[in-house]
Amino acid sequence: MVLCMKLYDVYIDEEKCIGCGNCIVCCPEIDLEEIESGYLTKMELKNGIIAIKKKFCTGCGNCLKFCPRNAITIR
Amino acid sequence: MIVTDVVCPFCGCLCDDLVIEVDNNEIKTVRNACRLGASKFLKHKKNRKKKPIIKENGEKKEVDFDYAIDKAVKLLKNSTRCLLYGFSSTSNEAIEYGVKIAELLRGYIDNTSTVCHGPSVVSYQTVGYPSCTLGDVKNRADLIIYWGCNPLNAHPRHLSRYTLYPRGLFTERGFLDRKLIVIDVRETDTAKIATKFLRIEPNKDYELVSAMRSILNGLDIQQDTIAGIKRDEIYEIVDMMKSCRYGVLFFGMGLTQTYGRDRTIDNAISLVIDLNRYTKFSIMMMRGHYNVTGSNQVFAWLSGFPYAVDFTRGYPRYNPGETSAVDVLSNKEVDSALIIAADPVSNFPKEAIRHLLSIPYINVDPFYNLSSKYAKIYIPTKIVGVEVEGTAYRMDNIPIRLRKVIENEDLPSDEEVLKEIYERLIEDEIVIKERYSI
Ligand code: SF4
Ligand code: SF4
Ligand code: SF4
Repeated sequence: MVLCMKLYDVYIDEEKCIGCGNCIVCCPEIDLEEIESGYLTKMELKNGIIAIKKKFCTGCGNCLKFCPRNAITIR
Repeated sequence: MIVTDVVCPFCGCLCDDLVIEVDNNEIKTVRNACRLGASKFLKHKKNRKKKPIIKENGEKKEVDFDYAIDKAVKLLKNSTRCLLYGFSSTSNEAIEYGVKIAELLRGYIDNTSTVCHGPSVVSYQTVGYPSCTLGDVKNRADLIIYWGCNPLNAHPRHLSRYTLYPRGLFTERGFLDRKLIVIDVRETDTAKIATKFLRIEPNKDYELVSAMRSILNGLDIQQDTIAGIKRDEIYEIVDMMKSCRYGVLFFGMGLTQTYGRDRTIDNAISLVIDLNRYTKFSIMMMRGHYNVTGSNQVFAWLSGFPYAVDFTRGYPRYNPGETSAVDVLSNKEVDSALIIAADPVSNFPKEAIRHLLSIPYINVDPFYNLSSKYAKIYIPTKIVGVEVEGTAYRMDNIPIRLRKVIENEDLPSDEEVLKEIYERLIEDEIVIKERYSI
């Protein structure tokens, strides 16, 4: 039997995110090496980016629950 | 160039896993930091000056470092009583020279804990401080309590690095293995993610702590609500505390600065001591500025007292409320001041600011802030942890060496400025003879 699971993309609103890292450390699926930059966050002078944008999110909702700023949307 | 293992010189968490990309002595990206920490690196050029500024005959002018330090030494030498204040955002090495200057001049010296965790410091001298390191919390704690603090705003990575989420030796499943209790007067961001949130009435912390201790000591609670919290909820929380394997109580200004002050903290520490009859429990202050813990440590190892030290009699005395910065200023007991890495003009009570603005003072700070604006002599310095190395203490009293990320040839460090002031004062034998009546 093949178990088919829908995978999601995670989007972070850069304006709202404070870079606390909660969404990354609470994620059961995340593997830092597989995140775009390999780090928790990446910030530049003009824009702050928290680096999770992934194709293997199972939609467990942990990160949504623990983000203090409601900066995350999962599509 | 990539600089790894950089320590963030912003809050008491002192996160030491930052990775910074530097190109041509410019900071390009900061990785792993929260927004607060990252901005300290990325915006390090904001509000900086390249030369000291002196106010003479009502006019401000830029001068060179030698002249500014000379003027500062003259000002301190000719004053009867000076106050040294600040030290929470500089290195231990600079603080050491601060204490030496205060002793030499027979002045007062105080750090910023006088307006934040001062009462907590007084308490742990009274009843002890059953604490632990953040490493212990990460590896062992299964119950985290935040009382009167909101780390998600003030110490954003505290939960993800040390308390709620990390997977430790005995907490392998991270947040699944832990419970979080938040006690606060309002529903903060941290409270929103808590397992249990207790909204306490303002200034009623002492009552709640006493109620918890009563239950622990086998007494029954008669009232329906205490401090705005239902009786059953208090029993539930005490049960959670008793039944955990390792609990840690983190407390902030919301507990320290409420009615009762050091007495409330005495009581909270005693609660933790009581809890140790049932399980392992620790308590820790949430320190704000990155090296305010270090200023307590260095003051204590050099003078025996952690803050509000009075050298006016030639030996160290300590009586917070009388010898603390706000009080010596409000009582007009000093006629000059040396402010290092702090901004008292923007956060002291009105009475203290009024006197500070009426006396000539020197400000040594990397950033040109409100206190620098009104200083007679302003001396800019390098930012510790960005432009110069130094040692700082994390909130759990662990010393950590801060790294240098970029070069800044134009400015001296806080340590160099204070060392120079100290050495020039020492050279002046008249000062020592006069002050110590040799
Ligand atoms: S929803 Fe769950 S799996 Fe997806 S990113 Fe958030 S924590 Fe990870
Ligand atoms: S939890 Fe929210 S605020 Fe924190 S790093 Fe993730 S997106 Fe940003
Ligand atoms: S939590 Fe504090 S020490 Fe850590 S990166 Fe943020 S500001 Fe810096």
